[in-house]
Amino acid sequence: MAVKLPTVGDATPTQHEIHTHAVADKSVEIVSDSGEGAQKCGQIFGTVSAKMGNGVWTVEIIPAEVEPPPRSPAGASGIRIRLGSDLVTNWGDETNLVVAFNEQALLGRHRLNALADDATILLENMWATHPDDAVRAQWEAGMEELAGSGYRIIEVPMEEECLAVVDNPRRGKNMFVLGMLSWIYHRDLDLTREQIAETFRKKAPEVTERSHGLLDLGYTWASQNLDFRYEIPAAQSDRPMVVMNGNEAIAFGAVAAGLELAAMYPITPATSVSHMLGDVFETFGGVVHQAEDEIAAAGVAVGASYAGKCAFTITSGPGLALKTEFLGLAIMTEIPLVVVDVQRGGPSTGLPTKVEQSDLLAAVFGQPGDAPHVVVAPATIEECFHVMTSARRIAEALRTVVIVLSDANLATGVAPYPRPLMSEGWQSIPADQRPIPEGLKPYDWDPATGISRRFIPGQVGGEHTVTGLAHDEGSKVAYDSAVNERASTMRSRKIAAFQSTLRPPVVNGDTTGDLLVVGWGSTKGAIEEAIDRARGEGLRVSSLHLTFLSPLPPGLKEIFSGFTKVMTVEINYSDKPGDPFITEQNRRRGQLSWLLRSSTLVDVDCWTRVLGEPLRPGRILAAIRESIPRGGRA
Amino acid sequence: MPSEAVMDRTTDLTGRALDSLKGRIDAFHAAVAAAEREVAAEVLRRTGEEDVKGEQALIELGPFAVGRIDPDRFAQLLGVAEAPLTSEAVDVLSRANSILTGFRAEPERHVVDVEPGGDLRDAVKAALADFGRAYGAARAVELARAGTFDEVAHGHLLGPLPFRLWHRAERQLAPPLIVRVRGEDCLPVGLGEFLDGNLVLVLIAGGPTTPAPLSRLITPGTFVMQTADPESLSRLAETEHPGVAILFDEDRPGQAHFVHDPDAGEATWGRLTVDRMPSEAEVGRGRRVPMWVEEVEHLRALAEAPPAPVSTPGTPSVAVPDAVPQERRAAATKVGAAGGSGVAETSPEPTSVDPVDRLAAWLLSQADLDGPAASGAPEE
Repeated sequence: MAVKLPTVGDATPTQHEIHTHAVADKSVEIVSDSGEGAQKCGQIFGTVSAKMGNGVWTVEIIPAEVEPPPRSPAGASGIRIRLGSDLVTNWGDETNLVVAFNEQALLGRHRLNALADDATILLENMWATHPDDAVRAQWEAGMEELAGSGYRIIEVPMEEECLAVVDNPRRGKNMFVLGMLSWIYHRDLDLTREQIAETFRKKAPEVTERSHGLLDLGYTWASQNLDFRYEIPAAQSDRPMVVMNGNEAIAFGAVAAGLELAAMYPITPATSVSHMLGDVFETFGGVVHQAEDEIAAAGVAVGASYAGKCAFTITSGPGLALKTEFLGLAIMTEIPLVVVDVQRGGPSTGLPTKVEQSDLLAAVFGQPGDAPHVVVAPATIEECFHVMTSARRIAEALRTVVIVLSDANLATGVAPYPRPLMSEGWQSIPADQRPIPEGLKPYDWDPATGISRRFIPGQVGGEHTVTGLAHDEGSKVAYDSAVNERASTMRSRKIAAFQSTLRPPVVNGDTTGDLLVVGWGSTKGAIEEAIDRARGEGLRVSSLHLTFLSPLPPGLKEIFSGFTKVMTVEINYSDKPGDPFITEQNRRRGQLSWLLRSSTLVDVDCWTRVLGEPLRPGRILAAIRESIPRGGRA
Repeated sequence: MPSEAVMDRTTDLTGRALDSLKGRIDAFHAAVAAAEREVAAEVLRRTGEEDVKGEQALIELGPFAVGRIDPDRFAQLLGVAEAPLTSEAVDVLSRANSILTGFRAEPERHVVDVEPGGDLRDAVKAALADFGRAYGAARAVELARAGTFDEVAHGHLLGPLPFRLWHRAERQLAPPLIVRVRGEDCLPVGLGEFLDGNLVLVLIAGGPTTPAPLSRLITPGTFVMQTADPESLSRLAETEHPGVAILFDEDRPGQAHFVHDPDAGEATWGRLTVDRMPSEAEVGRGRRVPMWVEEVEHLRALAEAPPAPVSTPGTPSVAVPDAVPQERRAAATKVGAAGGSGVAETSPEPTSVDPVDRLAAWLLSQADLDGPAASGAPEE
C-alpha cells in the first residue's frame, strides 16, 4: 500500500477569514456506519482533550446490532464528546457540531432530535456522486429532509482526500476527521500523535504512521477550507488526572481493592471490564476466569470466596437473572461476594448497547425467599473506581453479597478524574485462618449485629457442612421450626446493623423547597446540571443522589419532609399519568420511586424515560418546570 | 588489579545501568514500602485503640465511603468478626517489618560484584535470595495476619528466600541486578534458571569475554542482548519478558553485538538482530577455541532466515509464512556476509535451515500423499 505523508507545515497558507468562537462548553458528535472507527476517533479526541485540561464526557452511540445494514439511520454508530472549561458531568443536550460519514447516519441522529437547531454539520459528500442510483436517490431525499432545519451543512470530500495517504479510505478517514477536529478545537497535535501511537501500539507501526499522515491531512484540509474554530479554555488541575471509562475504572478499582478473582461470561455492556482485567489482573496476582455461562461464573466466584479469597463476578441484566440462584446460595451461606451489574435496556435481550436503570428492583429484591444484601450504585466514573474497595470490604465484613449497579452510560463514557492516591489499606485482608476457638460455630451470630466470624475450609476446628438449606449456628440443617426464623432474623439484622453505619445523604441545594429531585447512578451529572439551571430560573428546587440503595441510608423521610414535592428522575419505565387505564393505584412507577414510597410512606412521584440514551439536562429541566407545584417560583 | 581507568569505566557503566533500570528498582522498592506500611497499619488496626480502628476502617473502605459510612460505627461491627492478633503474631509482624525496613531504597543493593575467579551463577543466586528476604517477610506477614504462621514450617521465610521459591507474582516484580564480573569469569549459561517472570540482569563484563556468551540463553520468551552501548539498556528496561544483557566495558572486535527481542517476531531469526558478528579470524584471535566457534555458529544459525520457498517437482515445498518481511531475509543474508565464516549466504537448494521446517518437509515427503503438491502438479 502506498503511503504518502503530507506535512502540516507544507500546507498552503489559508486565504479565507476564520472566526474563532471562545466557548465554555461545546459538544461534537461523530457518526458513521459500524466499523468505520468513529468511536475510536472520538475516544482519542476526548482523551487528548482531557489531557489538555478540558472537562470531558463521552457517550458512545452504538446501534442495537453488531453489524447493522450500512447507510441506515438506525445503524448510526458513533460517539458524542462534550468538552468544557470546567468539569463536565454528562453528555448535555443537543449537539452543536456533527461529523457524519454518510447522510443516513446523520438522519438517524436528526430524527432523534440529537442536533441543536443551529448545528454545524461536516458531511462526507461522496454519496452525492455515487455510481449507484439508489444511493444518490437516498442522498437527495436525505438532503431534502434536512433542508427544512437550520443546520449549516458543509460537504467534505473525506474519502477523496484520504486517497492521498491510503488506498482504502474507509479504513482511515476517522483519523482524517480527528485531524479536522484537532484544527477546529485547537488540539495539541503532538499530544494527539502520541495518543494515536498509544491507541495502536499493538498494531504494526505502519498503522500509526498512516494514522499520523491522515491526522495531518485532516488538519491541513480543515485549516484551508473551514471558516470556524472553537476555543475552549482549559483549567489545568493541580492534581494529576487519569482518563478512562467506567468499565476500565471498575477493573482498576478491583485491582486496587485487592480482589483476586473475576469470574464472568461475556455480556454487553459489561464485557470490557474483563478485557481490561485480562490485560492487567495477572500482574497483580489476580485471575480472570471466563466461565461457560453466567451461572457457572457466579458459581466460580462463590467457590473462590468460600475458599477464603474475595471474588467478584461481572454481568449485565440478563446475566444477573441467571446468577440469581447462586446469589441466593451466597447469601444463605454468608459467603462474601461482589457482583458488578452494568445495566442495559431490558427485559430479555432488550437493548444490549443502550443505557437503562431497570435492574434496581431486580438487584434489591430479585432473589427468591428472603435474601437481604447490599446494593450500591456509583454515580461517576471516578466512583466506579472507588466503589470496588468499599464493596469488597463491606462484603467481607458482613459476609454478604454486595451488588454494584453501574450502567452502559458509565461503562462506555470517558471522563478524567484525579489520579487516585493508592493506599495499601484498600487491599483485601487475608482471611483469618487460625484454629477455631473451642465451641465457636460457623454461624455464631452476634445477637446484636447478626454478624458472625468467617470460617475458611481447612481451618482447624472449623469443619462443617456448608448447605443452602436453612441451617442453625452450627450449619446443621434446620429441623427445628424456630431455626429458620432465627437465621432469617440474623441475616436481616446484619444489613440493619450496616445501615446504622450509613450517614444521611447530603442535599444538593437548599434543604427546603418546592421540589426535591431524587436520583441514583449515572444520572447525577445531568440532574445536578438541570437543578442548577432551574435554580438559575428562580425555582426552589434541590436534588438528592442516592448511592446506597439497599439498605437505604437513614434520614430520607426527614429530608423529604422539607419539600412540597419529591420526584425521582430515572432511566427506567413508568406509566404516565393520564395514559389509558392508568390510575393512581395501578400506575407503575420508576423503580427508585417505588422503593422510596415503600420505605418512607412519602408520596414520591417520578419522571422517567427509556429512550435508550442518557438523560439530557434540558429534558430534566423541562420536567422540573412541569412538576413543580404551582407558585413555586421564588 | 584493574587499572584506575578500568574501574572508572566500570563505575560509569554501573551508574548508567542503574539509571536505565531505575523504574524497575523504584517499582520493587515501592512494593516493599507498601508492604511495610501495611504491616504497620495491621498492627494498629488489630491492637490499637478504638479511635485508631475507626481511622483504619475508613482507609479500608476507601474514598467512596467518605461522608457515606461512619467509620467508627463500622469498626465496631468489625470487632465482632475479627479477633485481635496474638502476641506471637505481633512478634512475627515486628520481625518482618524490620526486614522490610532494611530494604528502604538503596540502589547499590542492586549491584553485585563477582570475585575474580568466582562463580557468576552463585553470585546471582545469593543476591536474589537476599532480595527474597523481602518476599519472605511479606509472606510471613500474610500468614501471621491469617493466624497460621508456624515457626517450624514458616520460620525460614524470615531469612533469605531462594529464587526457586519465589512465586509467579514475585518473579514478575523481581528486583533487577547489575552484576560486575571479569570477562573471563563471564560464563552465564547457568543463569537460565533465573530468567523467569520479569527478572532482568545486566552483566558488566570487565575485559574480553568469549564472542557470544549469551547466545545459549536465547529462548523464545527471553530478552537477550550483548552490547557495548549503555544507551541500549533502555530496551532491556522496557521489556515485559525476563532478560539478560552483557554490557561490555569496551567495544572489542571479537565480541558479538546482538539483541533478541521476544516481541520482534515469531521465528527466532525474526526476533534476533545481530549488529555485529565476529569474523572467523576475530573469533579465533590466534588460538581457535572450539567453544568460541560454537557460540558464533550457534548465533549465526539462530539469526539465519529460511530461504524463499522454491517448488521442485516431486518434492513438497516448505512454505515461509507471508508475514516474513523481505527485509528480514535480506538482513539475515547480510549477517552471513559480514561474518565471513564460510557459511553459505544463500543455499542453492530449496531446503529450509529451520530444523522444524526441515523435519516437516521430510515427514511430508515420506507420507504417501496424493495431490497437486505431492505429485508436482501445478497448484491453483
